[in-house]
Amino acid sequence: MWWQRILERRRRKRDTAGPDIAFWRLQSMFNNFRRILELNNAILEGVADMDRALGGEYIFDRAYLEQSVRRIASNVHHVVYSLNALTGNRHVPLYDRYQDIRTILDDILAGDVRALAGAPVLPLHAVGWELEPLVGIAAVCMAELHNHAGLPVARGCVLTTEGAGLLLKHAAPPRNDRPAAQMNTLRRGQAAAVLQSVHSVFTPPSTNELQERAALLRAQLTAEIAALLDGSPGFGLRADIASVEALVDDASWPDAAGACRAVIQLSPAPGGGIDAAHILPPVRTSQADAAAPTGPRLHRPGQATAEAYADLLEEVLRTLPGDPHMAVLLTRTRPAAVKGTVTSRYFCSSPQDARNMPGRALCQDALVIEAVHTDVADHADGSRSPASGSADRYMLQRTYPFAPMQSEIAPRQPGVRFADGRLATSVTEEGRGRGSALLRQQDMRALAETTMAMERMLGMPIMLEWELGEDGRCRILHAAPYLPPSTDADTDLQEQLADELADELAGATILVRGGHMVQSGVVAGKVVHLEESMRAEDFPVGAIAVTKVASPRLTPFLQRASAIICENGTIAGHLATVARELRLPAVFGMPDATMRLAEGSEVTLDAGELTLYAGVLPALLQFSTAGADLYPTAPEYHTLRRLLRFISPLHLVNPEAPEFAPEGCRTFHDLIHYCHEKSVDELAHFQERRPGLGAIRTRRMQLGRPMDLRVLDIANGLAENASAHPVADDVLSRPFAAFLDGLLREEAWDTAPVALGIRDVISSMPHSMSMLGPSANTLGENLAIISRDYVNISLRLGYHFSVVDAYLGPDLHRNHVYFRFAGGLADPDRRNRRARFIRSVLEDMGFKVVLKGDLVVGSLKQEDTHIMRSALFVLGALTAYARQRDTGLHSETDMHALYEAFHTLFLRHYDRLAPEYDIMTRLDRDASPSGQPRNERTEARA
Amino acid sequence: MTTETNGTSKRLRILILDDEPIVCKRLKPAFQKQGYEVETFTDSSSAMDRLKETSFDIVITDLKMEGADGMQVLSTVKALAPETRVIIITGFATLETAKESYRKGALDFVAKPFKLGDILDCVRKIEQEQRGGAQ
Repeated sequence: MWWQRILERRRRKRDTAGPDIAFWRLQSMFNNFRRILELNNAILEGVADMDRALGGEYIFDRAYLEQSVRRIASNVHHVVYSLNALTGNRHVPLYDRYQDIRTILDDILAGDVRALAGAPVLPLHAVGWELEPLVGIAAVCMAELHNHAGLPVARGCVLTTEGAGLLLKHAAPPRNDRPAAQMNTLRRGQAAAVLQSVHSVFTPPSTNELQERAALLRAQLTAEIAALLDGSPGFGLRADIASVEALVDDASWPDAAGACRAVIQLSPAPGGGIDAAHILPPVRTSQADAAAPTGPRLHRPGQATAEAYADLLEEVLRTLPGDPHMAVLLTRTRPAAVKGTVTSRYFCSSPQDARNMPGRALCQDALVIEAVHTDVADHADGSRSPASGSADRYMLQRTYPFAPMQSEIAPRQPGVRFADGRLATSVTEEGRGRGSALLRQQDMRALAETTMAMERMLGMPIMLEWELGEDGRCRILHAAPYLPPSTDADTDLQEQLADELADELAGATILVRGGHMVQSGVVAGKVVHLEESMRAEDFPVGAIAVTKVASPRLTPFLQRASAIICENGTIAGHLATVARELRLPAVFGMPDATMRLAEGSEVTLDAGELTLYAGVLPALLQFSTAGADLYPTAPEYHTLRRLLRFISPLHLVNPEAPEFAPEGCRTFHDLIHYCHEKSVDELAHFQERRPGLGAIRTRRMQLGRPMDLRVLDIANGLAENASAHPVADDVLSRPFAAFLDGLLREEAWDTAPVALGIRDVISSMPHSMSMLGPSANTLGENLAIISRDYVNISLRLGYHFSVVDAYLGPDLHRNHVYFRFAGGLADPDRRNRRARFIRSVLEDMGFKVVLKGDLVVGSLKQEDTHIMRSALFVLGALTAYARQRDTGLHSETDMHALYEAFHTLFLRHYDRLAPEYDIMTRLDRDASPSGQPRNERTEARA
Repeated sequence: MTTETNGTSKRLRILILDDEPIVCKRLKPAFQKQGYEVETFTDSSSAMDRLKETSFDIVITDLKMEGADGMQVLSTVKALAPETRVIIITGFATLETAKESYRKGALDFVAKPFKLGDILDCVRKIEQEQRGGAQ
């Protein structure tokens, strides 16, 4: 019939036009996804480049910083655009976050640091170089010392310029009228968290908010002070109040010491209450009443509570002339027997000073320690007398091993008992007389090591104030740059030093040369080889750590070492990032370092030159502070660190967490990570969300294992002639093939039924349901999105969920493997044990790992291709092996046994130093009685 | 031009001109460490005055500066002392500026940011050439 023909024609037209349009829209979707991947790689490469610049690898200028920000920001903007194009504009708020962060970066480039202001009271460990305009240089120095092992640093916190300004602007109401009395009972973290959230860097606060913030600030300050005092009546507080310039440049740094407005000692008064005494200058070491406070005193009656301390501090601040940029460093003080200073660089001008010093130019430079009794002296006969005239002065060499050059010991009355409880005539453990010096040699050396480590980090001379407690231990109370008076002789001295250096280097023995610079710097010390069994606390402070592999597990050693040398390892890896953060001289990829450097030998490392010399080279060490390295005193260093603070850190690690949202993005890294996760999610669900795009479907793989895995090939990930149900050999995607190699290993599949108690099932229900809830439509649908160089695999095996995201291409710098694992059916303890088991496996392979409850997130970057493939192989095996294992982990012993079993089966075959991807060959060879590979597929791939 | 040291080897004299103090601050000690004599300038007029007073083996100059730019400095150096080698460093490298630099006699053209080792290698190469020429 004619009308049937018309209907048929219309039907055909509809059927052919639909798929065409769908195809192009689908193609566009894939293109946007690929674009996101490419841009992500380019952005991370740019960030790594800036990170390397921070380590001193490049000579750069301001234009570089501007160009880097412009380039990275443009790419991030394109990522946001591509995600919205991919998802039909379902992530528009990301544009606002992008613009917020971009504005902050532009402000930083223009010299405005207000965006850095976070919580107005910061514990020392939260302070970094980039916060110097908000906290003052002394607080930064103390924080850096806090991050390095060596002499302990007095506990402390900082009231930032923002905080001090807020306190002074909004006077506290009388104590009884305070509306937020409950604020004072807030715990430390609570107050800080509330304050942080109120003080958003993105939205200017209203007047009401400012008043609320002032009340919260007082609560937080009180909480921090309470934490410092720790309930001990013997403790007091020292407040270093400094003027801080918002914009810091090279020229203003020498004035850092001059910026000190006041030093106040807040102590419990003998008759009750608290005394506030001005100490000006901070510590006098050359007078008899050195520790006696001077200047006006304030007294606050009543109980010496933390709140009373906070009130008195505020009162003190109000007595000082108005200053818009005041920061207060609060440190805990305790009764001390001896106090003093260390000056890292002292020019010996008199012949007497220069006596006994070897060399010419070097002889005019020394490290000086001054020490003085703080209290009356106890005598052997039980009498007490003022320790008058008791200042000692010691001069030490500035270079390792800091040999004493000259000491001036003040005369003391007979029978004085020293801080260590001994008399001058007492015999020490070494069989020598104690003598009447206030400090022992080991104390002097520890002070010298700490001081020179700080000078190395800062790039300019430093002065530390310290106290020797009644427990016999030194503590650092204060640290700040110290600029010796400049003389005409300085230039001559520098020239003379250059001559001396040329002679020294001409005669020096080079032990090793080569590798990649991670952090520049020159340091001397004894070589210590890092063994697997070694604990960080056993590593000698100040030694040079030498190791084969730069594993993130070595991170704790960096706080004790003076430098680290690795034969292998990537300069973009976690260990390298930490070394740069600590400004610890580091070279990775130094050939045969472990073999060529004898344990215990003294060497000098010039990391910038990638050269290791035999012995200690004093001229080189001294010359290193001349400025070839990039030091925090350079404005470019500050700016770069500030920029990276809003570009590099990744805060959003858990896509299941509520803060995984556009408003939770605080850095560019957060933004692109969010975009990547959402783009993967979009591809994984496009059939449900876009039913019109159903023309190209995923293909179910035939794996020969009890799992259902679908694959979506976006570009050359499968062989052209692959069927609708591809097998492993059809896979051309490099990272996916390696993962499948491991996933399909027979040893990894234990199909025995698991033992589950009803408690397991009940305890897992809320967790599992919330974890699986948003994605319940994919339950049982495991999906791999693949291209030739890329794979993203989302797997749900049993009740656990894992994600592998990997790029393995010709460009080594773009290679990465990201692994996430969460969930399970057992109770939280057992799930946590499995998470720790997985963490151990990942750390063994050199992953940087974050563990939170049962969530494990690991990443490995920029390693050689064969290492990445081997890691993916192990991840494949681990994914299969770890499923439902949580139910059997009743104890720590079970967890260790599981680890040992996996190690024996797979991990021991993982070799980062292997020249190629042959983990399967090794595995088969060990498993086969004949010592031959047993699997044809293994042979082919190997 | 070169300075005698120890009666045997000669020290290369290097002038560095860059209006970004950080570049001069980092390059000077790095070259001094290698035994070279270094003078640094952050404004081109002072550098040009110095170039008229005395000659250098190598001039390392930024391209984009206030006052006389790197090209003018290059021309001045070549007019005053044709044997002086000039290395151009710039954060705004283009093919055109590189070509022009070479046409005017620059020995090398280095884009910022650069690794310290790269520019040290460049200077070492010049030093070797000069030593070879002297022998």
